[in-house]
Amino acid sequence: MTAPNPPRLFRRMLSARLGVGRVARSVIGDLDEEYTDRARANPAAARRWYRREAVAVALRARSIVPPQRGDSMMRQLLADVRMAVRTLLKQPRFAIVASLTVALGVGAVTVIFSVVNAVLIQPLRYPNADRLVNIWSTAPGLGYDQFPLSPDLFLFFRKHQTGFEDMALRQRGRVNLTAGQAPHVVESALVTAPYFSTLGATFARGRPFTADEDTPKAARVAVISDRLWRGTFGADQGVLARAVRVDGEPTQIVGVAPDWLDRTGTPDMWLPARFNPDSPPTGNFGWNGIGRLKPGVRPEDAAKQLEPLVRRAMETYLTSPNYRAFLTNGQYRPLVNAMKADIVGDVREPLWILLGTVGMVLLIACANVANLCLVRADGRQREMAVRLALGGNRSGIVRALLTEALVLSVVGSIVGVFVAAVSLPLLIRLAPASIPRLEEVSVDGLVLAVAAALSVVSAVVFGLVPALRYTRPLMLSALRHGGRSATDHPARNRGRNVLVAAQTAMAMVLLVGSGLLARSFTRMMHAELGFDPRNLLTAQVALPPTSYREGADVARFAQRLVEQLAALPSVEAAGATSDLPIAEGPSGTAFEIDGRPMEPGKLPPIVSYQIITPGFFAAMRTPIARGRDFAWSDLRAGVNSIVVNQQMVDEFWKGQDPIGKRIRRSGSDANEVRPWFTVVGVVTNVRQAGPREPVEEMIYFTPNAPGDDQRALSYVIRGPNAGVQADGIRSAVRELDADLPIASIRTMDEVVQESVVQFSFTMLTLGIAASVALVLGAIGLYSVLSYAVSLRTREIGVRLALGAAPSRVLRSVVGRGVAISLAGLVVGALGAVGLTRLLGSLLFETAPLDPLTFAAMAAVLLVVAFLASFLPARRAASISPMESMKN
Amino acid sequence: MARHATLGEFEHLVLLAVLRHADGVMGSHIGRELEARAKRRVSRGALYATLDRLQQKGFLTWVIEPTGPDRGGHPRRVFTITRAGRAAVRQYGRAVRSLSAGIEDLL
Repeated sequence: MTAPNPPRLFRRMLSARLGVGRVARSVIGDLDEEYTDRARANPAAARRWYRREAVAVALRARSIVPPQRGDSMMRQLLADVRMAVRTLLKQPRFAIVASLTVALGVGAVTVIFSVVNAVLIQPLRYPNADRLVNIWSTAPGLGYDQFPLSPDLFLFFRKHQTGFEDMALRQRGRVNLTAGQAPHVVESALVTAPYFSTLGATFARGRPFTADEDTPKAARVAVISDRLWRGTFGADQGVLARAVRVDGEPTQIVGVAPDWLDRTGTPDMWLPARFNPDSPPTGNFGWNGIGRLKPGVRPEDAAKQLEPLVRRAMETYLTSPNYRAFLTNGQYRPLVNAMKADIVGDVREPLWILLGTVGMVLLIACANVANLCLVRADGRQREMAVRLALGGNRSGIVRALLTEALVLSVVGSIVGVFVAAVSLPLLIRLAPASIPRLEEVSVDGLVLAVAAALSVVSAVVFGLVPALRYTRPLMLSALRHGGRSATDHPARNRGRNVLVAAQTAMAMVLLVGSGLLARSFTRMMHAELGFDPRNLLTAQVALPPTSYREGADVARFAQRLVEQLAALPSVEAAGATSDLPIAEGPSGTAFEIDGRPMEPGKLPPIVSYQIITPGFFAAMRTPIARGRDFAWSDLRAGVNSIVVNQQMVDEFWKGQDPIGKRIRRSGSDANEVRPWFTVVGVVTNVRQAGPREPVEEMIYFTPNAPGDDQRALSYVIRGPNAGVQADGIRSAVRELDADLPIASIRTMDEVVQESVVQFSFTMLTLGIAASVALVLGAIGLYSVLSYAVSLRTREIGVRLALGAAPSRVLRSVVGRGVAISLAGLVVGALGAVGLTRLLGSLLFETAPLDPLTFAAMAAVLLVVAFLASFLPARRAASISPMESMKN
Repeated sequence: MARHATLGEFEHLVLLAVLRHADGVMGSHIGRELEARAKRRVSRGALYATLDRLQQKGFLTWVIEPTGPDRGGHPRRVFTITRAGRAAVRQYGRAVRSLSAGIEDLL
C-alpha cells in the first residue's frame, strides 16, 4: 500500500511560506519523505506529526530560507510566477474561463487599436511626411468652406511663395489606355512637373517628369504606377521603351513610380498638366494643390504667407471683373492643411468612438474576471487566514494574488493578440474602402506594447480587488469560523453586485449607441432619394476627344447607345448622365436669369448642373413635377432646352411658373456669345450627394449643350436582370465602337450601399461590441446569482422546509438579479445621455436622446437580465430541504 | 567565517549527529538520529533553523543533489561538517571534560 500524501492544506501553506527555492524544496522533500516513512507505521500519528512540524517550519521560515541569500528580485518573481501557474493549474476551468474573457477584451481592443494606430497615429508613408500639406481655397464670404485651387493662382503662389520647398497641382481623372490588347480604363491624374519631388518619391525605373515635358507643345509622356507595371505590363523590363496610346494619343512611358506609392491611394497613371505658364487656365477651381513645407514652417504660417499674394495677383494680372468680384466678395484666401489631417479627417471620429467602445468591452471583461476572482478567493479564505496567522505578511499574499492575476491576464492577452492578428485581414476585407490607409494596418511594435500594457492594467484591475479584500485583518475571523460562515458576508456581496451593475451600465451605453446608429441607418435607407435604386444597372463609357471632337458627336453616340439599350429585351427604360447620383459630384456653374440683369461688381448665382439624355428620368423613376422630360428632338442644333429641379424653382421662381423661363451661363469673357436656355420641365429633387446630404439646386442640360465637353457618361438601364443587361451593354458598345472600354458596371443599389458603407461598418462594429457586452454582462449576472444561491442553499432549504413556497424563492432570486440590473441600467442610461452626444455627427434624423431607442434597449437589457437570473432562481426553488441539510 | 563563534547546546548535538556520518547526511536523518540517541523531541523548524545558523557560523557546509521520483522530485540537501566545525566540537568537549573533572561522582 502506498502511503497517502501529507495533509494538503499544511503542505500548501508550507510551500507558500518557504517559496520554491532549492533549499525550500529540499526541506519540503525531507518532511515528505519522513512523513511517508512514518505513515507506514501509523498514518494518523504521521499526519499529526506532519501538521505540527509544518507549522514549526513555517513559523521559522525566515531563518530556514533567509530571503537575502541568492534571492534576487527576478528569482523571486520567477518563483511567484511558478507558484501562480501551479495554483491556477489546479483549477483549470477557472483559469480557462478567466483568460478567455481577458482574451476577448484584449483581442477586441488590439484589433481596433491596430486600425487606429495605422490610420491615425502612424505618419504617412512619404519621406518627412509631417511637412507635406494640401493647399485648398476658402471663400467664407460666399459660404464656401473648402474647395480646390485654380492653376493661375497656384502658379502665381508658387512663383512668389517663401514657406514651401516646392508645390505641385494634381487633378484626378480617368483615361483610356491601349497597350497592345483591348483598351481599358485606368485611374489617372494630371500633375505639374514637381509633383513627385514634392512628395519625396524617388524612381527606381525611369524618372519623373521634367519641366520641359510639362509644357503645351511637349510630346506626350506618362508615369505609371508599380501596380500597373506589374499588372498590365507584366513587369516588363523594357516598359520605358514601349509606346502606348492614352485616350487615343501615342504616349511614351518615362517612369515607373515607387511601389510604396501604390499604398497611398494614388492612381495608376500620371500625365503632365501641360499648362502654358503665360496663360494658365483662370478661375478653374478644380485642381488639388500639394506642398512640402520648409523645415520648421507650420501649415498656418505657410497659409499666412500665401494670403497677401491673392491681392498681388489681382493687382498684377487678374482683370476679369467676375473673377475679381468672386475673390473680393468671397474674401478668398488659400488654406494649408497637414496632409495627414486631410486624409484621415472623416474617419477620425468614428475610429475613436470604436476604440472607446472596445475599451468598454475590455472593462466589462475585467469586471467579469474580477468577479470570478472574488468568488474563487472566497473558497481560499481559510488558506489566506492560515497564511496570515502563521506570520505570512499581507504584502506577500497580495503579491501572490496579483501574480496569479498577471499570469491569467498575460495568457489571455497572448491569445487575444494572436486572435487579433489572425482576424485583422478579415476585418480589413469587411471594412469600407473609404477608410484611408487600411492597407497599412498591421500588428506592429506599438500595438504589441499597448496590448502588453493592457494586460498589466487589466491584471491590476481585476487582481487587486480580491487581493485587498481578502487580506484584511478582519478576515482572520474566517479561521475561527472554520472558513464557512463568513462566506455570505454582505459587504462582499455588495462588491460583486457593484461589479455586475457596472457591467450592466456599460452594456447599456453600448446598446444605446448601437441602437441609435441602427435607427439612423434605417432612416437613411428609407430616405427619399428622388429615384428608385432597385433594378437599375449603371456603366460608364468615356469617349476619347480624338474621335469624338464636338458635343454633337458625343450626343449622337449617346442617342444611339441609349436607343440600343432601351431596345434590349426586358429593359424598361435607359438613359445617360454625366454625374451619376451619389457616385459622382456634379460641377457648378454661374448663370443669369433672363430679365434679371446682374448688378455690376456682384456675383452671379452658382448652382450645380449635369448633362443627361432623354430617358434618364424614366430609367431613374424620378417623377416629372411639371412640364415635360427631354425628347431626342431637344438635341437638335439650336434647340436649347433645360430641365431644373424643384429646389431650383423654390429658390429662383417661387410662386411663378418656371416653364418657358430662360437662363444663360455667365462667363468671364464679356465678348463671348452665350446662348439662352429655356426651361421645359421641372423634376422632383434628387439627393445627388447621398442620403445624408441636403438637396442642391440643379440644372439638367442635354449632351450637345454649348459650353461643355463632358465625354464620360454613365448609362443607366432599368430592368429585372442585371447580369443579362451587363452583357447587353457590352455588346451594344462593341457594336458602336469596338475600341471603347466600359468602366464600373454596377447596380445602383451597390452605389447606394457604398455611400453608406463606412456608416454601416461603424454600426456593425458597435453592434458586435454591444452584443459581446450584453453577453458578458449576462454571464456576470448569472455567475453572481448562481454563487449567491449556492451559498444560501442551507438557508433556502430551511425556508422551504418551514413552508415557504418555491415560487417565492424564485421571485426573490429573480428580483435580486433584476434589481442589480436596474441599478446598472439607470446609471448606464445616465452615462448614455452624456456619451451619445459624441455620436451626434454620425446620426441621421435621429436625436442622440431618442426616447424610443433608450426604452427599447432598456427592455432588451431587462429581458436578458431576467433570463440570466431565471436559471439560478429555478435551481434555488428546486432545492430539496433534506439534501441541503445533509450538505 | 566567524572564527570565535561558540556553540549552543542544541548546536553541539546537531554537529555531533552530523559528525557521525562521514559522507554527509540529510536534515531528516539528523532529526531522527537526535530523537533516537538523545531521546528528545526535535522540532523540524528548530532543526532547520539551527542547520542554517551553523552553516552561517562556518561549521557546516551543504550541497544540494537532485533526486529521483521517490521524493516527488524534491532535491536533497546533504550536510557535512567543516574543520572549524570539528574544532568547535572538540573545544566544546574539552570544556565539558575540564569542567566535569573532579566531580565525576556527582554526574
